[in-house]
Amino acid sequence: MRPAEEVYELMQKLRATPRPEYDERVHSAMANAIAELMNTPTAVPQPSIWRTIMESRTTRLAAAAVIVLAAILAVTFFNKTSGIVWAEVVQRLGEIRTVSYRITADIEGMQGTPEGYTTHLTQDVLVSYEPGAVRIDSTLQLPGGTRKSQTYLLFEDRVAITVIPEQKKYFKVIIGEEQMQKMGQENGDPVTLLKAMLEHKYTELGRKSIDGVAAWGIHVSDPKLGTKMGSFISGGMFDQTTVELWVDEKNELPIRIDAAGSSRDGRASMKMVYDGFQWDIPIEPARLKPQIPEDYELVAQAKWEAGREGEEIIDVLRLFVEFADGRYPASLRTVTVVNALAPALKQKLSAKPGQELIARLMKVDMVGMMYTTLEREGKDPAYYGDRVSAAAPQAVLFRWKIGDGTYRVVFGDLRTEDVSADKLIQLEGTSKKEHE
Amino acid sequence: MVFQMLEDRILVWRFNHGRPEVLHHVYDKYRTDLLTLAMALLGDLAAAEDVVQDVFLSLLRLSGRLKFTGSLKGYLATCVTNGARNILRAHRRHPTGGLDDADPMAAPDTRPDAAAIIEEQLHQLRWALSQLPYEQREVLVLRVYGQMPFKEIARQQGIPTNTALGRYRYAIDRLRSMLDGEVRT
Repeated sequence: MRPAEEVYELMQKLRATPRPEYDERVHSAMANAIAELMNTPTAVPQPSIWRTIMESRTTRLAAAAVIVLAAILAVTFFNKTSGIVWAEVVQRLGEIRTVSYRITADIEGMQGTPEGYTTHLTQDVLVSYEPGAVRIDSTLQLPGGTRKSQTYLLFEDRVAITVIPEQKKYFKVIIGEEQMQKMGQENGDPVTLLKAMLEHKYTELGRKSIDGVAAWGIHVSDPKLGTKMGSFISGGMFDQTTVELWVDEKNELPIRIDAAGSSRDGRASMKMVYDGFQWDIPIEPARLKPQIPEDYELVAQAKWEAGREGEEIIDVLRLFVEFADGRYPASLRTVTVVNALAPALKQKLSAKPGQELIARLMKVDMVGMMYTTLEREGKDPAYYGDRVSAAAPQAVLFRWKIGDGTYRVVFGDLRTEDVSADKLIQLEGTSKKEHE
Repeated sequence: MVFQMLEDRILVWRFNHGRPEVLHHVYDKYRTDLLTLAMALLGDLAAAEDVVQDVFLSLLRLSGRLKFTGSLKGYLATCVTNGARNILRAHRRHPTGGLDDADPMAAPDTRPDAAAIIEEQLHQLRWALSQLPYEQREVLVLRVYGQMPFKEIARQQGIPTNTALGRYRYAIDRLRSMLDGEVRT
């Protein structure tokens, strides 16, 4: 009698190949059912917090923990050499309903602090995925004292609110509907992150004990990480970023994240530790809603609309014409922009800024993220602030692609012109020669 | 294998997070295995096609809350098996054909005479499969085409793991006998 293996192999050869017309029928039936599903309100879950959280300045540092680890973990599927089944970790994270954790950060070179001063930041973060909401209680230790604030990110209301109780003030950032949808379609989910991360090097750190708990770690560090992965890791704040992630061997969930970022000129740097993770804890809904007393003043309100990143960056650059004599920041990373603008503002701003100016200044904090968005969307941005100022009105300062083969060029005097790719090469060539 | 697991988990994650369209990809990935499995259970191409299509359309109703233990392929194979059972129950018929409409795949470097031998063996196998008791056939095809562990097959069928193992062994032995011409009834 023939061996059982032979029967098994013979069965493997027996295959029913679907007919093309059948494939077409199934795909068509599914497409119709999906269209029906999408047209049914609440039938499809709203874009998850994973895909939206990092777009808010107010939460990016805190929320980076959750996003970063998903990004890093996704890569490790391909390198199963540690004691952790990374696939399980990613799946667990996808099923988490709530999480709380603490961020402690030491920031050097922060604007407004003396040279060599280290600013300490503590943030207690509460995240709820359904409904989507985040609360961050921040304590910032500055030379003049301690500053406390609470930030709420409410996804259903598409708004981020920061309250400063001591000053009885609050800020508001409204996220446009299109921006929310866009983020839902393309940002932040593990597949997108996986694709980005696969372009970078990562290393396994092996096993170690963290506060008596066995953990496995991985490390991601790449010169390009700060730009390509900027919005996931540091919201476009720094030019260089490295991240270490440690996962509890027992429950296969993150236990600690160490992240470090620095500006290209080395003047500013930050070291962060994310720990104290508590997963799926009950959270009182009231804790996720801001209670703003009537006598609190709305200092400023800004809005983030999809597709306007380039224009918003120009508006930020306009601040340098108004306050810094047309000397633009060397890069469009948030820290570099803030460092360049703050001294000029201090010098030139004699009166208390009005709501309109504050709203524009709030965009400064988002500039790195906006530039990163242009990069991620393949809009081929380039910025030459390290060699172009308002004194060179014909030189190309900034550009990005606005359509097939068409670029919007911003010159030194912030004039804009839409040109073909060929014309752009010519313009940039001329600018480069003039600089040399 | 690791990549497949990764891809499946990500697909399910996306499916549960507002991306029902990823089901097109899932279909493309597993359609051959699932159709083969359905054919082996039902012995009828049209019925097998209906079962597989119904499985995917039913899955869409689970968008946002699809959960299962084990592999995605195993889960889909279980859905197909349940669909096949429902069809058999509804029509009160027994599977008859085997895989008559199946497209057997010979190895690319097989010589013509060897290909003819394999084709003859496959023809015998189709017939032999159709002669197996349904319970044995189900365990066999879930194992071979669904690549499910016996523990999972047993849970799905509501039987002890040893019973599933036994049915598999009986099925293989019976096929071996039939293919060797020992049983022709």
